[in-house]
Amino acid sequence: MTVKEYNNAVREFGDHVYRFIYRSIRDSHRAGDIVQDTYEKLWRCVTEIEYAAVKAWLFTSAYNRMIDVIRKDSRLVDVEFYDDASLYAEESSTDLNEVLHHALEKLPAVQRSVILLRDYEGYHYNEIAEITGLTEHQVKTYIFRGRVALKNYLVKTSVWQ
Amino acid sequence: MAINDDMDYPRLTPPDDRYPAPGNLFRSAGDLTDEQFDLLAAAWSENALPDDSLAEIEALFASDPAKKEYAESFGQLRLRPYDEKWNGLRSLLRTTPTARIIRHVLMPVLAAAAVIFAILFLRPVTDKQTSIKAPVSSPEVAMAPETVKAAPAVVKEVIQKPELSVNKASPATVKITSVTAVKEELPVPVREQTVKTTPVAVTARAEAPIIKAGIDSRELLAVE
Repeated sequence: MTVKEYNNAVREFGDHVYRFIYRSIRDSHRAGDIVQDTYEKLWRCVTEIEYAAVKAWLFTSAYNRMIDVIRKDSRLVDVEFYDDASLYAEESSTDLNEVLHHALEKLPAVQRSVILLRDYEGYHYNEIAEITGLTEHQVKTYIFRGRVALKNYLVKTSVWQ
Repeated sequence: MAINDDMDYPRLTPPDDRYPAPGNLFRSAGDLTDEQFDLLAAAWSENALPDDSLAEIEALFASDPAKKEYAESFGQLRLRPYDEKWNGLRSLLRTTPTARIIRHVLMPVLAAAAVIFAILFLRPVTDKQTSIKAPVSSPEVAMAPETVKAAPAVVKEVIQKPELSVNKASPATVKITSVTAVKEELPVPVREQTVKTTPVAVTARAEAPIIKAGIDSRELLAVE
């Protein structure tokens, strides 16, 4: 990958990676740090990576960095488990997209990430599996369970009739 | 349980035992719990079901259209990204070799060329503009040339020292024989007069030495 292609990767995918991480951990400062680290890592091996594969590489690297940060920081939401009782809170908004994002915050980080990769970036299950290190079957399970959880949130908060 | 006759490799032969009520174990798609159906519907809304599962759920939809309507609602549960930007994005950009050359070589050259161009081509324009432009003057401070008075004539006065003759017989008597005086007009020094645009006090007074005649008393005392 050339320097020009690297800069293209910054312009083209930088906001996407940031959005994915920010929505996964809901911390703009940490999300910025993770994106910065990811691109620093990319720059160190810029000559070894093909431009065609750089987007998946960026998401994979950023996701792994995010998991490291989450595991090191106990203040953030647990990676795999969530408290079902806290899932259904008061919902004041009536905008479906906004309510869905509120519901997404209640999900565990891994589930959140796979849904974001699916909905935001339109990745296929096998691509999400490569990024997250999960099996394709696990990815499907997380996504389908995540959808059900989102649906239940909408129903329980009376947003969904 | 029978044992086969092969004593070299004896093995068990399964008996023909049967579960008495196998019909109780069979299930249909309608027997799925709500949670199971939700998962199935979520997968169906993403076109992620294998063919055999798809056939089964569609058979279920055919028998209960409300379930299909319910399953279709999962298709609306899609997150749309907000237009969130990261402010630090520009700091990640790296300078390409071409951009570095442009920045360090071409830009100073172009800047210098622009300065030279400005000097060469814009200076005549500015000069022309200043020559065309009328002198700025305000009536109360402008001084008309006729108001400048001519300097008075400078007069050179030459007075010859008086010739003194002392009668030694009577020293108290001093006789002044002659006194000559010359009055000569000197040319007035001409000063270039320019129209002043600023309020200045112009004194058109020529400075010239005026020689005045006089008698030095010391000379008188020196006479014996």
